[in-house]
Amino acid sequence: MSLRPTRNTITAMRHHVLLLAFILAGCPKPAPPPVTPAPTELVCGVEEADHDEAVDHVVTALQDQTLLDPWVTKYTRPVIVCVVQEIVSDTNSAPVLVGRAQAWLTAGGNQ
Amino acid sequence: MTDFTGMKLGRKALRVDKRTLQLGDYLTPALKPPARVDWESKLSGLGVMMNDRLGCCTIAAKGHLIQAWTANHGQQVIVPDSAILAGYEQACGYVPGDDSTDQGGNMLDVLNWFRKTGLAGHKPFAFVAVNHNDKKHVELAVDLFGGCDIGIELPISAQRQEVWSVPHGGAVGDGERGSWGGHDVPIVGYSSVGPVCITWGRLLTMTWSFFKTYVDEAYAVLAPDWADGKVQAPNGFDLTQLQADLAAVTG
Repeated sequence: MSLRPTRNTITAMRHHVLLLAFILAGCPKPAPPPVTPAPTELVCGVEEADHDEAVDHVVTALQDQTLLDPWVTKYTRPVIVCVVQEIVSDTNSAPVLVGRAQAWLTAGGNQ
Repeated sequence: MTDFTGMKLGRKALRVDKRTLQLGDYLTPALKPPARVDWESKLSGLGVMMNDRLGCCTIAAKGHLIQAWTANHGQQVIVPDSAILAGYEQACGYVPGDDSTDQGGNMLDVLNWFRKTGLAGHKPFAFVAVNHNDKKHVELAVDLFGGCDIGIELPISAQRQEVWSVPHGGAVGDGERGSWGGHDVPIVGYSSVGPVCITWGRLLTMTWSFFKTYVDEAYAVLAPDWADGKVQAPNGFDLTQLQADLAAVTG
């Protein structure tokens, strides 16, 4: 009887080696489920970061007494009007800014 | 017209110590900050606390925190100028009469001094760093701890603003970060417009964009004046567990 390995034995060994390599490499992981982004909270109809930027723009404009008209900003008139109203109703906004904000609304800025 | 040009600052550049506890490690996702917090309306008789003459903002900020905590949780305490001066000498090495020693202080060092020594008999349990880039964490710090101690790289443009905002054109020129200097103020409230701080004896609002652009460090201070473990903080948050964790780390 020959001690040389048969073709079947070699094939079986190859399968074992491949199986071992597969285990060592780790099983292929299933693709992760798609991440659903958390719903973004809107303030004055825009995302919070944009809202904060709009507030900053309006506050600076009121201080510098520069234009608040929407065409000089990337914000729409409803957003600016909403932000101006926030400033008017915020008890800690400086009185001079609140006065200017009210004057802008009175002058038809919200039209 | 507002003019702060004559006022002093006194905050040295940010120093990072990796051992400083982080507030974010103690927050649970369930905690949501309220839309508005107002610890400022009960304050009265706000003083400059010598920050118009000395670069002692890091001490004055602690004095104003004590005032805010006590005004909202008991009887308001106004820290006298003599205590502010003594604190500035102890924590920052100021020598009265020697202007060369009026160099301000580092927030982290002053907070460590505040925790170990106290100011006018008011000694906090501990303090934690707040991720100033996370608005929610800042809001929670103000809500849960009765204030948030922040470090600002003030621009020159802030000298003449009623409400601190980023100038049109951005943080360049007079709006450049730190072009005026470093300042330490406590935030004692906030709204959708922005945080409200105390500085130079008055309440001052800054926009959230200003905060994002110029603030580079923030801390929440856990003080017995706010919650002593037996009493609930005014907002009903039980700080006992956090207090125990902080005590375990800080000794």
